Amino acid sequence: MMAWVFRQLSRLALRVFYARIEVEGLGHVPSTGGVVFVPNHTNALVDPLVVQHAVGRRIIPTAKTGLRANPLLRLLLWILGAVLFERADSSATPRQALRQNVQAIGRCRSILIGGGALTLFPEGKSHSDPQMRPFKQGLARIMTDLPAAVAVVPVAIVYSAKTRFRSSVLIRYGQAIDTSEMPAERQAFTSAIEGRVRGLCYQTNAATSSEVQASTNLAGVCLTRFEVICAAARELELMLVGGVIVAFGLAHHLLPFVLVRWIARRLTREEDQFASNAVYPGMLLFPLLYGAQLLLVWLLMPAWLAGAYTVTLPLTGWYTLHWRDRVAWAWARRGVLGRIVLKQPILDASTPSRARRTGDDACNKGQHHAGNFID
Amino acid sequence: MASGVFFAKSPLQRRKVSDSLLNMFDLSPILPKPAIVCLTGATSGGRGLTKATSRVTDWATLGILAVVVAVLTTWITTMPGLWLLHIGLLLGYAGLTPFMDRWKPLRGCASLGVMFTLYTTLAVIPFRVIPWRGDAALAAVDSWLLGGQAPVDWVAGLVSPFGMAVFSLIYALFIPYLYCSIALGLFGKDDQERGRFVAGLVLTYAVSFLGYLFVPAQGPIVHLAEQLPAMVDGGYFQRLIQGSVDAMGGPHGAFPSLHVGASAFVCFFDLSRRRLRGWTYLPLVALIATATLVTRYHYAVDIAAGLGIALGALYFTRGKR
Repeated sequence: MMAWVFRQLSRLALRVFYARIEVEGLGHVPSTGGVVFVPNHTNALVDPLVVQHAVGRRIIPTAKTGLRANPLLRLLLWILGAVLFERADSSATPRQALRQNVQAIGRCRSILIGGGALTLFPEGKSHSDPQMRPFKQGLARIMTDLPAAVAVVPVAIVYSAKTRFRSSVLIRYGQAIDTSEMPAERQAFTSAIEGRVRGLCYQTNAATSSEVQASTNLAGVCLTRFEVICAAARELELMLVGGVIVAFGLAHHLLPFVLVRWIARRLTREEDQFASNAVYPGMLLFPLLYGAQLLLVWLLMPAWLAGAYTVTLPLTGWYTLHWRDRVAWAWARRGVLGRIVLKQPILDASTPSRARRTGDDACNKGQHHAGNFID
Repeated sequence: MASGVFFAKSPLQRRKVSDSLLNMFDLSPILPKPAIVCLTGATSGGRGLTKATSRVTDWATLGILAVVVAVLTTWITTMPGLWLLHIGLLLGYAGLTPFMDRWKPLRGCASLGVMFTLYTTLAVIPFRVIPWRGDAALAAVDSWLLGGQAPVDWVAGLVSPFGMAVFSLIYALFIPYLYCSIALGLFGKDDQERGRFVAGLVLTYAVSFLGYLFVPAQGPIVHLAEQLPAMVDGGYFQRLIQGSVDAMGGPHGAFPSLHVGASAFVCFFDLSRRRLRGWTYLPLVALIATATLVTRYHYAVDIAAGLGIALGALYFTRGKR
């Protein structure tokens, strides 16, 4: 029950932190039977939440024992039933570390034999490197001579800007790997799995960059000055009218938001920790402060007004987030809109000549094209 | 600055990208699919709809004009001037249709112009030519809905002078919301979206006018004036809307509520296209519906009918899946 509540809360927290969460290949995830999810690991404690985000079944995470030092995280790990591994760089003696890891591998095997699902990060430590780090052999150890059929699902997680609030994340689940056809030798097994995850990450990166390019860099598109003015009028209307709702939403969400941001900044030592330090405290602080606000309102206000406030509070928060995305999007394009309205050239010298020529051909007299739409 | 350049290779792709650019700030995948999409089947996609929506617009406009002309013909001696006006509108619109594809917003301007003219003339026609009134039946349905007490009566007990002023302002906000939506829906939009928007709005008006014409009602403000407690003074805004209603020919056209029908359609249309604008105005639409009861211009059943018509119009102008 507690694990279920945490899963729902984490889904909500991810939806708040990331503006767009796209999921691909969900059909590759088996709905029953033992399965190990093997993702790349670039965003610390957010990665297990992202892997779990779209999957309907419970996934038991794996983590380092060092997380137990934090009492809140210790409680969370207990609720989630996480499997804890001792890292080589931990303070434990080699003997203690070995005993802990043998126990952890045994637990992983029993979870998989019992038809459960696990997330394992074979890179070990979360990082911000541009490339994946070499896989460790823990997965091969778990899978050796397993007496039940277990699927290994490679997962690629690509963040557009992992530390930025309201950025995007793409999760791609790859085809489940039939481990019976994999090499028995541990190193070869690990290399094969690493190759699959690496390939999936490259595919995902390539697809994402071309999509982003296609949607944001719109050379050759014709727009009249009038159409741009109408679009700008629509934005202005939304900005002004929506601003009223946003003012309410902002006033009632500012405290938890500022508090979470302050905590995240204070706690973050490395780039890949920021999102975790925002999402996890957010999951705790937002419900707490919401509860306090609502308690105060129900104590001080008439019931109908308190009821209205209870309904309005999350809705205005939700609206404020979307309004903010929208205004940021419009603000990023103010330059190109202004240039179209002022009839100034948009394509600059840095645009390839072929592109400029094609763009010119595409537009009729009196129309402008919006090349290099990001400025 | 982003690196690389994306090029729309074909005219179709260019049009598609142009459309997405026109709606460039509507990050549709981000917004959740509203229930209204599931309810009416409205989609943001669809092809080959421009001709179909043009036909709906033309038939709805010409149809309601023909009905009004037919009604006036029956009592031609009563209002020859209005008969001539509507004949002129009918012929004028029919004469314009061949030219409407030359300048795309013309169909929308002409059909909505006809609708706004009809709104004014229908303040007079039904009360002069139709021998029955709908107020008693509407009030009876309303009382039955609330188990004996009229919803307007129930609301009247809750409203303070400040509340009346606020709801009067909200009632008046319908006009800028509608006109702004029409301007933004007619200009600077792609043909398909404009076609659907105009067809839906015209359909909402045309169907509502059938109610205006054949169920003539002045609303609780006139019909229940003696039974209801005296209205609290809502100050400037209340006087403003009273003045506006009097200028349009006095309370008329209670059934169905076009305040609710038109504003709900515009809002649902935005929601069906997953526009943030729809969510922005949804509270206003809900408040407008409440304001029609508070200001006593409509019965509760009018609001339900207005909502139903808006949903129906959205369904008939939905995209193909």
